[in-house]
Amino acid sequence: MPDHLLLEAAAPPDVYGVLGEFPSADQLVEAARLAHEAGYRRMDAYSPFPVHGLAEALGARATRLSFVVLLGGITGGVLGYLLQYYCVVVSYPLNIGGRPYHTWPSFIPITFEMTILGAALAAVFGMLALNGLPRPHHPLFAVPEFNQASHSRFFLCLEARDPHFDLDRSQEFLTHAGATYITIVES
Amino acid sequence: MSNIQPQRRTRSWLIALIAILAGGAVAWLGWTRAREQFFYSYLVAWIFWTGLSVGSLGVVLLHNVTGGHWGYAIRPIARAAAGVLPLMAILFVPIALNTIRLYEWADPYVVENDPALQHKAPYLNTDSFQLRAAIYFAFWFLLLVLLAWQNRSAPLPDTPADRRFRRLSGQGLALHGVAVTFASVDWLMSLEPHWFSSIYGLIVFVSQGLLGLAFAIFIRTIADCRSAVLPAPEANVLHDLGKLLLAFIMFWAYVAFSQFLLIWYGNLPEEVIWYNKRIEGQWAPVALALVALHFAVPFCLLLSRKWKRDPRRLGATAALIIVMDWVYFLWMVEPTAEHGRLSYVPWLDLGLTAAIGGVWWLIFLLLLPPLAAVRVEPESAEERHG
Repeated sequence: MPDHLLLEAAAPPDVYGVLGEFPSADQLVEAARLAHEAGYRRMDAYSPFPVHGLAEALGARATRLSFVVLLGGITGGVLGYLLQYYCVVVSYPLNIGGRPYHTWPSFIPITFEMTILGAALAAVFGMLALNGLPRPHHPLFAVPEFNQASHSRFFLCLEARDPHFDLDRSQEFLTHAGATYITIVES
Repeated sequence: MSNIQPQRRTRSWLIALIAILAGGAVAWLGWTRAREQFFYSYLVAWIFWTGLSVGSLGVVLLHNVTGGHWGYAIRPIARAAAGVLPLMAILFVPIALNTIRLYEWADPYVVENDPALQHKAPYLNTDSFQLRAAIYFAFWFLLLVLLAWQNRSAPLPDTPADRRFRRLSGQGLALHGVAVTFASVDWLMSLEPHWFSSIYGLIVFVSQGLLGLAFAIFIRTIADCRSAVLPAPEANVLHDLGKLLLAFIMFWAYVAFSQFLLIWYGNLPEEVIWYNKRIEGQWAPVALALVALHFAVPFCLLLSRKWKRDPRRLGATAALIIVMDWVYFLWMVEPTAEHGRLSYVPWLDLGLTAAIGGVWWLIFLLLLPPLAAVRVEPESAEERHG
């Protein structure tokens, strides 16, 4: 029995995380910094406007999006060039004013445009793939107070999937960090 | 930092004096040994330093219109660089008085035997060439007065006075584009008076803007390298400046390639002569170097976020751009007179560039406020995305 209880307490399967509300942006940043110092990694902060230094406090690392965009751009450019090469050199060679078939300078504008297109598509869809949007529902939406996150409140959510997470200790941690309101978010 | 500055300034002064003396000696040698090339080399040197001042003027006007934190970091540098323009106007006198040594259209004997040049004579003649140059410089002096007035009154953001400077800068920037277009036709394109390209003015305009921006970034990063730890706002500003530099490099490549593509594709004899001289023979490696080092290499380097945020690396890239922009002006001017000249001597271009650059640098230093004062104040929340 105690074993079973202990397991319940550590991370019950139906808990998404614990949510703490903070009175100001500065306190939110401070709490995020403390949480990162305490070893929490799976967490997120919610505020009505972009808060300077919050991403750094959460320990957010550079995303892989730039790499995805680079690959998208290169792919677009190479495909654009090959398409033109195939059309005018392989598939349907035409003699235009005695110019060589492989007129590379005239391929450049389309190659350039295709590079931009490839990079832009990779940026949009890569961003969606990496951040998991569009997402119709999120466990936090079940918390009534969370509505206020888009106009007046600051929240920090420690998520249950963090190995460091402990239902009681994480709530205690938020209290110490200065949270004015704490709730358990069900998944 | 403030106690290091005077020492560095003294060293700077010394380097400038050495450049003037050494460059002057080389120029004298060139004057006696390679007279036919002297004025072409003088034009390269003069157009490079003038381009730097004119481009810096454009950068300040642009920042007046757009605002943003990137600009406050380089404004004093760009303003000082633009302030050297009166010197460049004085140094234009040798060109204005020696048009016959540079421009075919100024030679009555050539014009007499050339119907095309006779047709162009109402525009391309020495008197109107001098008059137009006076108008360009008068206009640029007017813009300098505007900037000095703005600096003196230092209006707070979004006051009527601030909006007035913004409006005047916008109008000034538009006219500035017109002035640079006409000036580039007069000073550079008319070196080959039969040849014409309608995008030429824009290419020169972009080259000058790129030069002004790269120079300001270079000086700025020297100041940043002094401080051991770069505070975050500084790195953000460098990041923005790096992005702007990347955009300008792409813009330059875009317009320069556009001209090449249309002329190459049209393949008309009167148009291709310009490129034939410049992408074949001894100038071919220079053309390739321009593609590689004025565009491809800095473009790839500046894609990296880390590279843009590091003052040393960003500064090195800006220095590369400055050097390659000089090569670009050289590549536009020197092949002109290839025919009829015994041998081309690159040291004369270097010597004259050093000599004029030394004088330019001395005046720039006089006008430059201490770089320690050029710090970026911590940004406020609403201005961060500006």
